[in-house]
Amino acid sequence: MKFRCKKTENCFAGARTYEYELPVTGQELAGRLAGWEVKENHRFRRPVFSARKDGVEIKGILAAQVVKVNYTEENWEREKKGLERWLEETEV
Amino acid sequence: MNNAATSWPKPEEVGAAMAKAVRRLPGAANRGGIEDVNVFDEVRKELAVLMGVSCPEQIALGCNSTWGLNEALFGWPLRKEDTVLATDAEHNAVLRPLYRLEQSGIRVVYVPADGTGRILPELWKDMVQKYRPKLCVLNHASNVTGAVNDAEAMCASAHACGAAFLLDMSQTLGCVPVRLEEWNVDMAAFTGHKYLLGPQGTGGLYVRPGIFLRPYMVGGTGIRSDLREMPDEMPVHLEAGTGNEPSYHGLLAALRWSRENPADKKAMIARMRRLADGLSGMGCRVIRPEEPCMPVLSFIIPGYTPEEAGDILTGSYDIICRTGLHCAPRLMKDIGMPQGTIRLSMSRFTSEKEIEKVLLAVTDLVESV
Repeated sequence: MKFRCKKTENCFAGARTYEYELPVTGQELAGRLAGWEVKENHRFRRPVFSARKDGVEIKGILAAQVVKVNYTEENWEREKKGLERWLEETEV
Repeated sequence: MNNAATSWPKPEEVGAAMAKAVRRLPGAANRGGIEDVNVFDEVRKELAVLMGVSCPEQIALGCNSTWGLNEALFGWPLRKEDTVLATDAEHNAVLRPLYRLEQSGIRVVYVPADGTGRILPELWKDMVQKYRPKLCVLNHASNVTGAVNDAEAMCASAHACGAAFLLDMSQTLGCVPVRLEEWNVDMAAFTGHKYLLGPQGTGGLYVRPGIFLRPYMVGGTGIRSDLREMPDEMPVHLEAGTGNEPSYHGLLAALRWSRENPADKKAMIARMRRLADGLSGMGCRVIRPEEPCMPVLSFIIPGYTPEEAGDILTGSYDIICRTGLHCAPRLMKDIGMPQGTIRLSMSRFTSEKEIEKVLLAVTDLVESV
């Protein structure tokens, strides 16, 4: 799938957080994350999800097409390349 | 709920004034005659009333409070091994210039805050007496907890030991009464985009008559262009380059609107109390300074990092808040929240209904842990 990526910051110098705009919703993305620990919370007004694997976290609104990804400070470049390759290779 | 960063919404008049300003003929760059309206001078007059000063020309206008603070901190005649006294409640707009001053051999000493982010005047006084600083810097109110500091008492303590006093009014001007001349404040920085309800790109520095700063930023002034140095007289002494005229038209409109429509402080305090009581009641850890206090509240929700909670409040509930260190990293250990806080900051326009919406949303988070 094609995506747009933008680095987003928080207060900490070590933050490695990126937003991805996808052609699928968070719900559809979560359904394809095999091997990830996926949690959904439907109690909130707009239900959310989070997915964790090897220190990388993907989270967002289930119905939205923008998700946030937190990479680890140590291996963020390798993790980012890996996730983006997987996104590119995943068919919509 | 992020008004301590930038107030929103603004009075309708602000946008209208800015739109009109960009369409009209620009100002005359300090050369205008009697018939020219100089928006910067009109803003100075309004600000002088708010600040309690009788010399509007002592208010230099720039792009924000950070600009004013840099002009003050780098323009004050400090020498190697001089001491500057600041506080743990300072914003990075003060801290980062101070870190740079430390690199040039200036010693900086920080007064710790109490658990609510307030600087105790007695502790401040003790440290002024102990370290004999040349310059003291005080955040008038914490942008993290809202605790307002006793600027008058702390200015007097600084002066009693021969130190100059710089006040950071970024959070307070427009919300807390300020009497700079009565308090004998030497320099005071302010911004237009928070509680003055103006647009971003406005702010500056008041300098008490008799104080001569070495301008940190130098450049064109439109007048006395044959001099190699900036003109001596204020405010042009500190005002290099073309000013942000459209935004100052917006700020002027905001100042006039605020003068004609004073905020209902009692209602704001009652709403803040309702918010704090509600959050405390559901088990959140809330920082609650005693009055006087800005309409700013920091808290954490057990089971969530501030960032996680903020993402949900914004993404799931459209509640715009700020999370993390709030550019005040030194304060976090004093208030016992090293990972930062969730900050909610109201404006005069925040309604009871909006407060209840926040409480309902946080209830959902608390009950979902």
